[in-house]
Amino acid sequence: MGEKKGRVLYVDDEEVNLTNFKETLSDEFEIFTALSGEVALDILKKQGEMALVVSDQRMPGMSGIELLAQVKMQYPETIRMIISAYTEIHELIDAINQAEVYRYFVKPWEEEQLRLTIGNAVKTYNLAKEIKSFVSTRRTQE
Amino acid sequence: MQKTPVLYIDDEVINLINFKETFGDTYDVFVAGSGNEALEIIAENKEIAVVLSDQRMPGMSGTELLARVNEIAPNCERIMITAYTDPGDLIDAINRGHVYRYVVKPWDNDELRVALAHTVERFRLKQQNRALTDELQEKNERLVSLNNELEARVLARTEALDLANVKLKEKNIDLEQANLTINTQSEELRQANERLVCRVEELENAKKQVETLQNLLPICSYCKKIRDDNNYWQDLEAYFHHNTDMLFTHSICPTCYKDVVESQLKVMKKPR
Repeated sequence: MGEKKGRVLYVDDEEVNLTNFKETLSDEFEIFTALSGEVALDILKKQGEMALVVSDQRMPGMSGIELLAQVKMQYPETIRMIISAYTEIHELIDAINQAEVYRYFVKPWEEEQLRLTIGNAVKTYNLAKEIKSFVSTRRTQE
Repeated sequence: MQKTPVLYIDDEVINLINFKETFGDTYDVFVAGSGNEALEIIAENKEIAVVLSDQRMPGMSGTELLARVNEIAPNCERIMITAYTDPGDLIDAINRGHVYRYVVKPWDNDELRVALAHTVERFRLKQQNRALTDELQEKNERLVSLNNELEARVLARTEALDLANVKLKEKNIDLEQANLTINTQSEELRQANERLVCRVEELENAKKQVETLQNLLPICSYCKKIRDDNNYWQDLEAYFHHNTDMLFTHSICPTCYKDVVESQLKVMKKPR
């Protein structure tokens, strides 16, 4: 995994957003991208758990919240974030109640804030992993 | 079993009464009419599991309150209950209030009951997780300190052994030197011994020669001189005197007197 801080999967139906995201953040994180929720779940199956999944909300097929609700079930420790240009009330409520997102970003994003938030999310994930592995190694030693 | 404490905040008293009546049988319900009042209650009751807050209130907003709760009581789970659904408020509720659930007023009792039960369950799980982690951390620390203690003991023991080893090595060096000295002395003694053996052999040889000489004395058939060890022919008297301390007194036997002396006397008496 090299010296990068963590593995981040970004999902958006606009290819230019994926390219933009990857170019902006791949210096610090290992970035995976997917053009749809279905492709994203495929990537997770092949690449294994990510520290963070960031998704656009409105995409053809699976919505961002539907995707993140799936991610929550399959990989409960992965941190989930929505980036959306839309701020429709029922979507926002679903983001909380169904996807239990860590952050809700409104497009267009501000690079520094996004970088910081992703950094914090990855840190939170790594910390939780550390605690979990500490607990499990100690338990097997007992 | 003791009821789980939850706190509900709303500026409408009727909502507070309604909430308490609905959930008072299941939970230990605390209520507050404002954000400040809520913060006081939390400061006094650290064990509150869930805070449910209205969004729009005079003074502190629900989001603001929940953000503060997240700072002072981070283990407490947060739910927003509001009639207003402004997108900005909602985004704040996620990003600042870190709410676990968002419930729209007027709430459906069953729905809120399920949401609250889930939230309390989440609080309990996290609490257990923390307790386990703390316990393990503590055990781990004990193990680490025990380990350090053992290592220190081993170190001390090792140092003592090292010291003893150094002393033994010194002793060993002394012993080796002593051994060397003994070997040298032994060699000297061996050489001395060899020399003595040679000397004894010499003496024995000499003794044999003496014995040989004692048993068989070479003597001249004519002049009767005797041959000594050094191959000198000595007068009989000189030889015996030298070898036996015997002294001689010279006399003339009757035969010799008759044969030698009388004939000489006759010659002397003869007139010239």
